[in-house]
Amino acid sequence: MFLLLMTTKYVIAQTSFSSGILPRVRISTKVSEKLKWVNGLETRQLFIDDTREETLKYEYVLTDISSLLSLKIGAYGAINGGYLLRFEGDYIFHRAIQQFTLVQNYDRIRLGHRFVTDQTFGRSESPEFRLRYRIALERPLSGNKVDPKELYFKISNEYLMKFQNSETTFETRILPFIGYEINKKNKVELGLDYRLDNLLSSGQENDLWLSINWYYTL
Amino acid sequence: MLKLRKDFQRFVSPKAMLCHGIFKPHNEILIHKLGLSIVKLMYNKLIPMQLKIKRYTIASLLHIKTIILICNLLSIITMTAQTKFEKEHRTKAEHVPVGATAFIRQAFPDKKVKWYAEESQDGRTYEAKTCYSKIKHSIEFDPAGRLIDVERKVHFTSLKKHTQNHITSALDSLFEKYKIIKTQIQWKGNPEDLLQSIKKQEKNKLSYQRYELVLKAKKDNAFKMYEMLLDSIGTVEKFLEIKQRPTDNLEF
Repeated sequence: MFLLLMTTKYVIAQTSFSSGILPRVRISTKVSEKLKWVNGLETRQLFIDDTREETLKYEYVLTDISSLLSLKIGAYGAINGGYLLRFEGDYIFHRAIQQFTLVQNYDRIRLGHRFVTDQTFGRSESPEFRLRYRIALERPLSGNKVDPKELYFKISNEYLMKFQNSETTFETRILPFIGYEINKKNKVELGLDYRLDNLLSSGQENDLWLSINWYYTL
Repeated sequence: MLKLRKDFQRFVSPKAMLCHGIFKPHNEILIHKLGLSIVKLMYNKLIPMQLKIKRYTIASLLHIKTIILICNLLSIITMTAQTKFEKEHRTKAEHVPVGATAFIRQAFPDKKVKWYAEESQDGRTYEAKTCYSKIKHSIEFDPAGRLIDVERKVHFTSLKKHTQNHITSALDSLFEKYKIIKTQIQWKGNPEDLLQSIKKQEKNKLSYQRYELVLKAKKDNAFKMYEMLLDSIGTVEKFLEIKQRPTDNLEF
């Protein structure tokens, strides 16, 4: 965390920085033994943005509504496909999503791998195509596995490759979270979502979100 | 004649099978109704035939053994798993029954031991986990501090060849596909014998040995995780499905 803050501070000095809150809700329901339906709602609200005249100011940014079907493959894998609608200002963006996920169980930890391709279309911008890979590690803070009413720690690292207007850019994300398993169907997570965009080019963008996730299984 | 009938009844009846270790009276094992009805049918059909035999011949005994093997196989094929329930949390040694800590001090005097309080379908237990002779050991105690069992984590391929063969035959009958994720040798017996077994890292003659497996397996066209307890001839004594926690927070 110290390293993250130091890096952020160093980078902030040269590039842009914004920060806000990012609440997310994921509701999943089992359609059949192998198929589940996952719906999501996410909003972004800014409090700090040093590219604005008024750096400190509340601003509602966007809302995402997503819906994915997830087909289980084997004991650990799943193929997911779906659609996301983004409401940003006066515009609506459409995003098609294809994912492959793999969750590995070890003695005390669970490792989740997520491979994603998505295509975003909107009237105000050229189509954007992305390749993403995320690794997430989860471990209980007590005992050998997470049981209801127990806390856990989760850290994710994601790499994104973006293609838009014949340009390729890279982004990385680090997401440390503390989670609480309310019961077998409910868990909440609170943590940071740090995003470093334009990683290998000039004019890097830093976003630091306070993220609150709620996962509910129907 | 009456004696022969009684002997046969004792040997082939479901109750006898429990005694011979063919069907274990474990509440985790559910023998499908079909399996039991086939056993009953064979039993009823065979009694009159056996009554015609004047003496206990080797041939009749072999016949009975074959029936038992078929019944064993049927019981495996028709077996369904219960769902595993287990909740555990770390606890301090001072919150563990004295008998349990005393045994651990004797068995692993210089080792760092982690204690867990566990609740499962078998009730509340305490478990000590440590590494001894480069092998992970789990020692389970009841709430009174009495030793339940000692488990040692090993590689499946390190088991005796014939044990591996019996176990894989049982798994082949149960599952379309499977992969063994974790193998533990389980010892049960009196504390003195188990203490010796731990020191020598070898099963004492007086204690008995079972094999606890965690596996990923395909059954009824679906991959699931299972926990099983088997003996060295492949008799399934415990068969539990391990329900996976939702993975949404790692996937989406």
